[in-house]
Amino acid sequence: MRFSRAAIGAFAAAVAVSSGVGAHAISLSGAGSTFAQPFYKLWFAKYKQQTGISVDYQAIGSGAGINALKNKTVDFGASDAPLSDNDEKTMPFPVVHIPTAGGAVVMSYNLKGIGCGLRFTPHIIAEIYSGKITKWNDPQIEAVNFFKNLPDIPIQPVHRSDGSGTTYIFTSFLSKADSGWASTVGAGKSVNWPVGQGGPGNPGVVTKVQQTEGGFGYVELAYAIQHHLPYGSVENSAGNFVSPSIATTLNALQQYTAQLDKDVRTPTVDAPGVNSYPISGLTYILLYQHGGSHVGPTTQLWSWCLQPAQQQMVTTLNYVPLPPGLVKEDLAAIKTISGAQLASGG
Amino acid sequence: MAVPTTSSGSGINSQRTRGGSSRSLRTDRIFRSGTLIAAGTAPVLIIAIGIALFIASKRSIVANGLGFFVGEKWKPNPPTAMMHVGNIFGALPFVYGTLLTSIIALALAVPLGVGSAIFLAEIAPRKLSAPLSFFVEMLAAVPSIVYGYWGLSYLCPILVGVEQWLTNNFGHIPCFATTIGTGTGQDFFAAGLVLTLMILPFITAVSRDVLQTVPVAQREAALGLGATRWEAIRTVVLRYASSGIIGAVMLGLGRALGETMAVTMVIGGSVTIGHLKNLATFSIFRSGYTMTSLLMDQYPSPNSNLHASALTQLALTLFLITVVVNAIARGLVWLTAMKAGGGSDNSAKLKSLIGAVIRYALLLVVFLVFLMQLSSDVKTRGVMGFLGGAEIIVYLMIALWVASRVVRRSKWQPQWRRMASAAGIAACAICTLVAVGALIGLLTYVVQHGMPALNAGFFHKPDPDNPDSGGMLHAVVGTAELVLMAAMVGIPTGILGGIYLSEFGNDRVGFVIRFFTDLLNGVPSIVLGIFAYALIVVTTTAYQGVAGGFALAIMMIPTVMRTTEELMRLVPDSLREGSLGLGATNARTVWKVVLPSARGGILTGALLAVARVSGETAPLIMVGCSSNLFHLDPRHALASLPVTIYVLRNAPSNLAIQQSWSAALVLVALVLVASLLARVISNRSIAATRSG
Repeated sequence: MRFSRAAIGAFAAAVAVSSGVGAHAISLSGAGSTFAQPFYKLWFAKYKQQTGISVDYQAIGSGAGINALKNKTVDFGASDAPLSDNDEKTMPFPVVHIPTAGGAVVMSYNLKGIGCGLRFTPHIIAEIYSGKITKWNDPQIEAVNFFKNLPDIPIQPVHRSDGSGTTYIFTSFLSKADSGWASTVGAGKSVNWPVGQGGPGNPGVVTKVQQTEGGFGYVELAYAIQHHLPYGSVENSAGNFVSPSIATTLNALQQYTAQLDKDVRTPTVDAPGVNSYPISGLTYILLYQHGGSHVGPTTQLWSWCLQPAQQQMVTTLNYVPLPPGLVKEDLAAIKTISGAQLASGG
Repeated sequence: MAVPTTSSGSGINSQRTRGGSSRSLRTDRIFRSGTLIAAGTAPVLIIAIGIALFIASKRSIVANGLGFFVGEKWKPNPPTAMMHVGNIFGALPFVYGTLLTSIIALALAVPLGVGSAIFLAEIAPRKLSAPLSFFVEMLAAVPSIVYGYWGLSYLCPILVGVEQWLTNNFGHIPCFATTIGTGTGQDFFAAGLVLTLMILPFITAVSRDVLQTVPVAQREAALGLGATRWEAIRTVVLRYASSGIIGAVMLGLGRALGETMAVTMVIGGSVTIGHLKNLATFSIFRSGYTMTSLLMDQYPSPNSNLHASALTQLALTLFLITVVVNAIARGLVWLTAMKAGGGSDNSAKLKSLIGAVIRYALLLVVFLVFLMQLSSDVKTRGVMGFLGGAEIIVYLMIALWVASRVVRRSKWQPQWRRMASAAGIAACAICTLVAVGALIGLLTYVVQHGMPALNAGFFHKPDPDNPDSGGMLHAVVGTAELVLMAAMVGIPTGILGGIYLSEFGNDRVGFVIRFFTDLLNGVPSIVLGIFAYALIVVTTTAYQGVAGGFALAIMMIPTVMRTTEELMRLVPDSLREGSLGLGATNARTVWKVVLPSARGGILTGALLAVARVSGETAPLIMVGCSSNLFHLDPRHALASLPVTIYVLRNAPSNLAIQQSWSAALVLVALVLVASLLARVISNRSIAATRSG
């Protein structure tokens, strides 16, 4: 058994190395939203430069983020969907919601020769995802797009296959703006899609829409711009067709500042206001109210992320900074966490 | 591949009658119970998995009742004031998807695999068959994530055109009808094709082993009676090996049922089921879900606790299905081994009856489908519709069949038989060509796409300041650490268990343990992941790295245990007798004499197990073991090559995609080198053991 002795020696050495390396250097861990991943990466990279603290962020989907938080395997969860009342009840401990930035979910499509600017009403979107409108030259679509020459090809709706906050924002919007949708499919991180194909994550939906002529999918604005996917404008509650942008999403979020102060979980979809983009949402991080394992560093990290310089950074990626009123509410919420430390400067 | 060992008189318990001092008896008793504990992990684990999954799915079992198994609606969000139905969990669409993809895979892989096996075992000259068999066996170890990634980027885009053509020409056959054009080529058919490639090496290798056990005398008798080479194969060899081949096919089916990553990446992801009301819904060109791919998508991110529980119940269902399939498969393989001289008259009659029923049922289906296609073609294209694509092929086949019936009774019979023999042999050669060609194509694709980014940068640490540059060192090191953790638990347990099975395992306990070990070998890895998650991550709220290693360790145990057993059985009994005769205890005999002689073989088993687990993805994702930082602390999630491939497969940056291909290449190289080493060592050690 010569080989076994050598092998045991190797195992022992490896164990010694692994336990030795794991001991030093604080690193925070978080998991969840893919929607927010691009600017979280940017923030965490800058934070590492400034403080030396690294953050292991896994974009595994909002639902998975909440699950990881529930199992206490992370220092923070990141989700585009706030916890529902029912979820909060089943959480073994109280959590604090902190909105960190906003974003828009856009309706993107792949049609030869047609760029940005197709118009959609909430009803049309709901009918497409219900399988009732199946062709691009359907009279209902042509009625609002009389200036475009729409092809006679089938619509290939694409949705998220994994449970996600992007789906939550999108289905909440349809549930609020279209009664047919509200009574059949409803809102959730995963829902029972009547038609269409699933793609994993925002990138998965982008890939599927790009590969399919006639493809139609909902993705985060930043992903659509990054991949040069055309996207359309959506009719808001004031009856205007509004194109998604940082300004129009910020408009929508500002409409909700007062309600968010009362309940930070208020959905911000289908906002009132002439120039509000209706499929707007917030992305949240979830923190332990009491007794997380790295309370100080985690709260410091997130209060730093709310500072104006960091908020301004997100616009470079086509995400939306929080309205100033909401930042104040956030900082107040962080202060309620036992053991919280706020970042200095800013 | 393992040929079932028949229980000979080897092992120590046949010589247990000798006396000895009480101290040495105690040592022996401790030794025996120690190995028994290791061997007993297999049945204990199977039962523990069943219980753990049952407990975690209790909420869903209570809420859904039997509706879970017959319901075809999956509405995972709760009801609201506007929407009165919600939280409905019916598993039927996923069972349908799993069965459909497995059927497609079997329909393609069985003829190809058995044809290749016949070619390799019976027809090809040894110079050709040895390297080809070796190549095929090595491919059985290529990780499923690589098959899936290849399917996603290479196969699916090609399938778009192929499917369009099939729909245009054969659209009236329900399985080729497209109800909603998927347009991406990601559907049941794609999943079935990828599965075909995955189980093909497996079916080929096991069938080849079974064919080689057919005694030469059988072939010689047939040839001596004047049969052509093909007739000897068809009527004698295949018939003799039939239950072993069916066993191989069932083992392949067990793999197909539990396969996760390859299927998830190409199946499209939508809740789909066929309805008899509208036969076109049975189209294989629709996107769907299998049980495993739904778990992959929704298990990490459930809407509610009830949703999570329903998903666990789905895992439990999958677990039970695979256990039953594997139990049947093992039974069939044993039957062949025990029979060893042909079955009784009754079983032969029953077998031929079953064969006839299957044959006529298949004929009936083909006939009905043909009629359907014919009538629709005549309707749309008039009389010329008789000459559509499907029709021509069927007419040709009918003509061939009639010819065979007529010619067989004419003076051309000898020529016909020679032709048929040549045709049969050619068909087998073509099967081998297709199988080997497809697999070479896959490897070439991986090498081509993996080479560009496989430079020094690949082996750098990831760069947190600029997440889009940097390397994959964290994944390489993480994989090594996970496999090391798994090996530290899995290999010792497997070796001790193998010692028990070979030295003391000729009784009923040994039989039961061997059976459960084979069942454990067939449990889908995703189920093991869910088990590890429930056992470790949920209870400790951390330790994802450890949980990942634990799940992989469970996967290693059966492989190591069975190879150890088989290799130790090859050690001649005279060695044991010599040692015992000199007054050594059983424990000392095993430790100092038997084990060292079988050492090479045991190393082989360990390497095969390492090859198998280092590409595993699904269990790691289930336990949440996924990271993009470089660290070695197993209390947190660790990075690994397979999970990194999965996460990066449609990443927005070019470098990330290139590096994910390089990761696939490194993974394949790692696995192939491990199997190659295993093979070389085992050849050498078997020769050494036999001559010693």
